[in-house]
Amino acid sequence: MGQFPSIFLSEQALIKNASHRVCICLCIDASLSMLNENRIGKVNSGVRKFIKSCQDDLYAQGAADVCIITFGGRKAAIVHNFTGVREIDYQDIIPDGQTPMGEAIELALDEIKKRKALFASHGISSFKPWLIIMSDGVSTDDISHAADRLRAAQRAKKIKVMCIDMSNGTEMSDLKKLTLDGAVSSIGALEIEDFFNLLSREVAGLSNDNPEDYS
Amino acid sequence: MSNTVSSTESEKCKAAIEEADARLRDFLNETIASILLSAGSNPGDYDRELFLPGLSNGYPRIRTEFLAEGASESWLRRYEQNKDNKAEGAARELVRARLAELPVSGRRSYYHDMICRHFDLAAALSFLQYTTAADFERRLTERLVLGLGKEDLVQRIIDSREVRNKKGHPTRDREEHLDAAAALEQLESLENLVRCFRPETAAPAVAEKRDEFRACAEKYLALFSNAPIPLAELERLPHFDMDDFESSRFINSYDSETQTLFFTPLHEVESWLAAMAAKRQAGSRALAEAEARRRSAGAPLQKDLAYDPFASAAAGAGALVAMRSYRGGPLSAEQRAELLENSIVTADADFWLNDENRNFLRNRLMPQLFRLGGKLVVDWDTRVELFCAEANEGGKVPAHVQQLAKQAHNLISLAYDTGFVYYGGRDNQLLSSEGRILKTVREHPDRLFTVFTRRKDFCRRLLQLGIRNVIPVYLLPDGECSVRASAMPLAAATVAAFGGASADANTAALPAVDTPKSAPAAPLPMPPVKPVETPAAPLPVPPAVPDKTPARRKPSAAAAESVRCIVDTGERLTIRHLPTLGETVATSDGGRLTLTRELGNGGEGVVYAADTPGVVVKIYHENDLTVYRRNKLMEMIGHNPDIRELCWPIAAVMNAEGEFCGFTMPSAEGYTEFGRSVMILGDSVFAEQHMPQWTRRSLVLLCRELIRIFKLMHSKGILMGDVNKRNLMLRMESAKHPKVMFVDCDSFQFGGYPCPVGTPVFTSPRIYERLGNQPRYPEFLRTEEDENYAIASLLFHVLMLDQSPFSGKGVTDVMEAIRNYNFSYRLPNDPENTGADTPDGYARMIWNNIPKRTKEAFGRVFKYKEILSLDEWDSVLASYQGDIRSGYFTDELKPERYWDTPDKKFCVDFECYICHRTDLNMPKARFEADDKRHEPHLCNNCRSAAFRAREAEATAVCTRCGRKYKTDQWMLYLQSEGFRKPFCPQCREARKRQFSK
Repeated sequence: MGQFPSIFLSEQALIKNASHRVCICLCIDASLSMLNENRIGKVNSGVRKFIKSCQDDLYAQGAADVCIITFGGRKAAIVHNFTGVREIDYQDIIPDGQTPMGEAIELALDEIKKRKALFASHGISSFKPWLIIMSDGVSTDDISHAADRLRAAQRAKKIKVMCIDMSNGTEMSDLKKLTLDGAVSSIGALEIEDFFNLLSREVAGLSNDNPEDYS
Repeated sequence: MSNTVSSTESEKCKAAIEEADARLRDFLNETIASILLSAGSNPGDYDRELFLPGLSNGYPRIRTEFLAEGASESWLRRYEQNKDNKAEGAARELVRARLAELPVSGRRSYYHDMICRHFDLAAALSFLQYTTAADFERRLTERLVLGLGKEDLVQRIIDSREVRNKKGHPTRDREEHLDAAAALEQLESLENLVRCFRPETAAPAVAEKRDEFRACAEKYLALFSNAPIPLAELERLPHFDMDDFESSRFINSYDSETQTLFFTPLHEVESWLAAMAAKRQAGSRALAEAEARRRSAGAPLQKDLAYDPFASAAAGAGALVAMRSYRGGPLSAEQRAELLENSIVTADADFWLNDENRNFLRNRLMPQLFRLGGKLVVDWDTRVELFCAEANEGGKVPAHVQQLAKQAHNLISLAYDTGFVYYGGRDNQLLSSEGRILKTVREHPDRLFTVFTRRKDFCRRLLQLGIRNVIPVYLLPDGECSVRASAMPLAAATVAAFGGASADANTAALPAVDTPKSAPAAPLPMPPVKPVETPAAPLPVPPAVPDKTPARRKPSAAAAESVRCIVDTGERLTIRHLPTLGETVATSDGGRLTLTRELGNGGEGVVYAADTPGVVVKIYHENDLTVYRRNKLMEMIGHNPDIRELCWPIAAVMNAEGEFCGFTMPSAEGYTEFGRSVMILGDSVFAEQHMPQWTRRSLVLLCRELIRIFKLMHSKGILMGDVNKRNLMLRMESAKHPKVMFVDCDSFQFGGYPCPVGTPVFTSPRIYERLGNQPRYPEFLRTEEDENYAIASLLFHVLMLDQSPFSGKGVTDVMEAIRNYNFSYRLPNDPENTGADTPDGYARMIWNNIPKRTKEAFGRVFKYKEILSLDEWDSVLASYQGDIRSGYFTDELKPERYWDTPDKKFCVDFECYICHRTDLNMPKARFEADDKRHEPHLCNNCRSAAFRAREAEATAVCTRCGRKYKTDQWMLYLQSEGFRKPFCPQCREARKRQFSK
């Protein structure tokens, strides 16, 4: 029978919940340097808090679809495929190795594209997807192709990108290449929770908006 | 405007401060006396004494020669005349005048003597004012703070002086504003004053007085530190019942005008409620056991068990004929008979607990009711209440009441057995007797109830809550039934509702009930449950001004040109200070409000809850405070449309300097935004959890309610302008009669002031035609047709669970689709549109299950460029509602079956091959196509999964030639289930050629 049963099961969530969605893809640096100041610990707890506050909000619990991609070790990996915030079972990220950011971004863009196609085939409208890249160091692979792709998508207004630099302002030249105006948010380890708080509030705030206005 | 602080709270605060002041006075009295005593009364710092020992008429006897020293002749003469005068005022005035002329040292000695002879707190503090650290305070603190180091000592002196200065708190004299916060502050400052003294080493009397003060202050500090609890919060507590509450001890601290409970910690109320509930539960269990014992002991079965008063036909409008002429006093025989015949009759527990009442029920009411074919309804909660009284739960029931309860209980059981009484249903919640009656009458608004009760406040509450289906009756001393004078408005309203045309002046405001007898499904226009608009509302609403020029009332396309659009010049208003949390503002109708809590922060301003319930305040951001906004608001405030579903501005709001900064409006508490309620019904998990009673019918009713409100608005010349879910709120629990609130009314279009914003998807294409692709909303007035388009779009969103009419497959530019009227859905009688563009998923199924007339209406607006009036929409929706009721069209939110005629002309039932569901159907054409292609019959969900599988790559090995070939997951599945042979494409071709020969 092949993969058919698993495909069948993954459709169920999209059938039960046909309300508007927003795809949130978190690309998180999982290199060893994230152990400094326990940044990775703060990120883990921040993400958990984000998931919890989305689950507690009437609108966000059905609207937020989250995908978590890490780049550490020697390649980028999808730690959690796109799932609704109700069903996601977050596992803490454990850092190790290098920082293959370029690969992660490509992976993220592919996943987002697949997810949007899936939505379209179910007649589900969605807002502009969010791609949030959190890193504290320079990429160890070549990000130029990924950066081009990302900037083109932003120019076409098809994606919203937030680059979060956690290196306390020491190294961020790579993240700057990913946004159109080079804008990068610098966040210290202590402010990570605030950031996720803000994020969940932004999701809740979408309840008054129509996805069509963002086409 | 009336007080923001209730009189209950203010009185209690005043009393507390007075008590604390008295204690403090005692304490200071002792303190100062003990010091002066030990220090000697004339240490040389003071001048000689002014007073003679003893008092004369309660007033100190002053040494005249002291005062006379240096005094003017005229003063001396006047003093001689007045000093023996019985009226003290004149003499005191003269002394005061003389003291004012004296030098500081003279005044000091006067106060010193006042303290010694005749203690006065004001004098003590005034005395401190004339001393310096060098003299009295040093003495005071020396005696009291022995052992302290120099810095501490200095600090104590400074602290005590500061506290003393604070004693002149501004609210001290404005007693009408003395609220808990002010009282707390006063008490705390007094506490601090006492704390500055440490009299362990001083006389025991001093310590005793200090402790007394402390205890008094602590008691009040604890009391006032409890935040006031509004009624809305109390009602949210589990087991809360208003009747219980009104007969509890908490009622002494409850202010009915502001509907707030003071001085009580929430947990105390909660535990009391829990205790009441537990008592009731215990009573309920005991009663149930007693019943069971009775049954098993062989009590006779009730006759006529099939009778159910709620199952018989409801009294229609016009049922009460004789009652129409009732104006109070004893009910005539016909009137009584009419009531008993047409209503459900019950009595509260309090009514049962009385000999005359019980005899009346037994000897006159129950037999008459029985003859008319009815029964007296006694519900479980009433029986529990009587049972608890009989069993003396809690031990506080007097003996005679116990006896009455026992007799009532016996009567009820006997009457039940002989068929005169019907036991009302029970549910999981145990309420008080009156609470249950209230709940029942609310749940059946289309039924008439006659309730026998003695309680005046129960009748008042029924009226306040907008109940219109109860006649409250009590017994006159001579045994006749009558309606109490204070309950006449309630009876009159009910008679108007059920009695047809003849209306009292009281009920002129009620909308006419015109539901035909055969259609109980159409909703009765019920006033909302929130008592915001009762006479007890604290803010007076400006009177409605219904007359406006015809041009304004209906701005059609032509008239819109003649009414000039008032454009925002951008001129800003100056403001020195924007009020924020905790501050007080003045309203233009003469009141004051304190901003208690921030509710939301939007683009133009911040919305705060106020200390008056039912009202919220919006304070504009500084950059948005313009002349234009103020003028628009004043125009709106001057014309109250009197539509209760509109959060229309009530009054303007000014800061402390009298500058305009915002406005007040009714609060929409208990309502949720559309975007967080009805628009996410597409999420079944949310729907089941939070809005489980909502069906398609609720959506249709919601649409009709929206239309009704819009019609009202348009008739008063108000257009919403930006019609979208952001401005709309509803009550999530109102599935049977949806209740809506329109908010952000300050951005509506009114009186020449446009609505300055718009949402692209809801903007009529005609606006784009008139004004281009980027219309500047603040510069033009919308017409009613523009609004009707937007309303049609809104109705579409509601019925289709937040799908837009133009987001079809492959639509990249929604704005383009709107402008070109590219409606994505298939219309009946439209051969060219195959429906291929309709978005996949639930939207298709909903569309399929909508009646033709509704679909055509949407088609006319979104495709054929017509305009439908609101009346037409209402008619279309009414027929949709009828279709649902008749079962011809489904009531499901997300239907899964295709619509079909009752004789199954178009579709066929089948079992899905993959998920094995048997409750679905599909169009016959598709069924035959599946068979022809040798593919399994699949439900829509499995079918879309199949599409996904078709896109997933796989490799397989051909069983014929052995080669590997690329295919997809779906093909693999078909092969494994035997629908296809497991061959590669080449082999398949070969076989086909082979067999076609």
